[in-house]
This record gives sequence, C-alpha cells and structure tokens, in this order.
Amino acid sequence: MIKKTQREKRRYILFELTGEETFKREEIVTAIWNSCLEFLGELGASRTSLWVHEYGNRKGIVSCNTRSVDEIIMCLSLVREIENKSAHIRVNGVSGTIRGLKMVS
Amino acid sequence: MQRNYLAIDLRGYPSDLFEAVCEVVPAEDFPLSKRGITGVEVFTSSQLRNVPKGVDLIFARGGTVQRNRKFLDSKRINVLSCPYPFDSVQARCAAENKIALELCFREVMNAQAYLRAKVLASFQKTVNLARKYHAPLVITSGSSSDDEVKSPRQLVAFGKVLGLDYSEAKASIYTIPRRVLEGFE
Repeated sequence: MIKKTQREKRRYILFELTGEETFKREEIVTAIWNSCLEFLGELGASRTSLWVHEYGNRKGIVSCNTRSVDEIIMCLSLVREIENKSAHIRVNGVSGTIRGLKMVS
Repeated sequence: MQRNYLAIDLRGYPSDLFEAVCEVVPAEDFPLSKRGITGVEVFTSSQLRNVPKGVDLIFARGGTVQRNRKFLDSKRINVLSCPYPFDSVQARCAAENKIALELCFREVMNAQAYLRAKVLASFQKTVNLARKYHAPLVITSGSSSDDEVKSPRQLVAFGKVLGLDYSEAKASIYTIPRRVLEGFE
C-alpha cells in the first residue's frame, strides 16, 4: 500500500451538461474519453490519470492529476456531441476535494 | 479555491458568468441587433470606411499576411481575429498600434484532426510572438447560443494549453479586454 504522502495529488473538476438532451452515465464517460483521446492522443491521455467519478442530474465529477487539469478542462470543453446528439459541457469548478466541489454546487 | 473569475468575453453570448459580453455581428446587421456592447466584424479594409456609428468595437478578420498588415496599419480596428499566418512584423505593429489579437475558442472547437492541429499551431505561434513583442492578446469563446457558453475557467485553461502563464491567461480574459473596451486610455 502506498503511503498517503507518496500518492499522486489529484484535482476534482465539476462539470455540467448544457442543452436539452439527457444521457446515461456510460454515454458521458465514452464521450469524455473519446474527446480526451482525440485531443491528447493515447500517450497524453495515459498521463492524465483521468477518472469519471460520478454523474447524475446533468452534473458530474471527473478527477485527474494536478499536472493535467487544464488539458482535461480543454477536453471537456471540446465535447460537441454525444451519441449523435448536440451536447456541450461547462466546467463549474475545480477543487482538491470532492467535498469542496459539493459546496460549489 | 477561487470559484468565480472576473471576466469579459469580447465575442460571445450574454451570460451571468461574465461581467460584460460583446456580441459581434457583421457590419450590415449592426443597426438591427444593438443591445449591450456590440462589435462589428469587417472582412476587407474597404469595409472600414462604411463602419456604422455607435459601434463599440471593430473586429477585423485576418487570414493572409497582406490583409493582416493592412488592418494593423489602418489603426481603426480594435481587435484582429484569426491573426494567422502571423509574423514578427505584424506582432510589432499590433503592439505599437495597440490592436488586440484574438484567440477564439470556437476556431479550435469547430476544426477537427489535421485542421485543429494547424489552428492550435498557429495560435501557439501567435502567443509566442505576442509575448515577445508585448502585443495584447484576448481570449474569446465565440459562443452563439446559451448552450455553447464557456465558463471563464475554461477560457483560462485554453490560454494555458496555448502556452500562456496562469496570470497572462487571466489577464487575457479580463484586464486586456477591459482596456480594449476603454480604448487603452
């Protein structure tokens, strides 16, 4: 088990889906990963430690390491359509803890 | 944690996320859609003679070296959009005449694959030259509907991906746009 001090530092990004369409969690996860792979490539995406934590009620949280926050925000911003339906993602906040993000929302 | 950024979007759709938003319309549509801060976009230097009165900002759409140089020498425009192909002469001219160079997020979002890579490379070159010659840079969202509105944090991330520092990216969404609106007084 890795010591707490040796763990990679993470940032949590709160995002919101804009538009009228609703999507399942799996569709959102696929769209985010596809956007990330398209923009950063396979090697770049592997270095971000991207993880989609939760999604519900049009809001969700993704996490990544501290070095790649801006790249991940950029990837989220570049999502234009999900399952051939128009969809855009807006970033509402970045925090070091999930609790901090829930205070924003 | 900083939750809100002060931000001005010089080409966007009105939103509560921004302190002020400038809507950019073609010169011929200007009198019909005047609400809040409005800018007009010109495509040729001859159109500059027919710019309607009451316009807050004049945007010029670049695209070629000759056209960019004409716009930058004219001193009548406030912002040069699509400033590529960009070179050091244009950067010096933009700095001297206090004409802001626009980095529009929409340009990147609408392009894909090879074209997106070329647009990003052009933006990075523009950023490098603008930093070297102290030319003003503004980051805009280019959104045309409520769904497409990007938050100020997303625009800062865009600036950082292009090679700006955090403070420079923040200045490009608030301090410099405010100075552009005030006419660099």
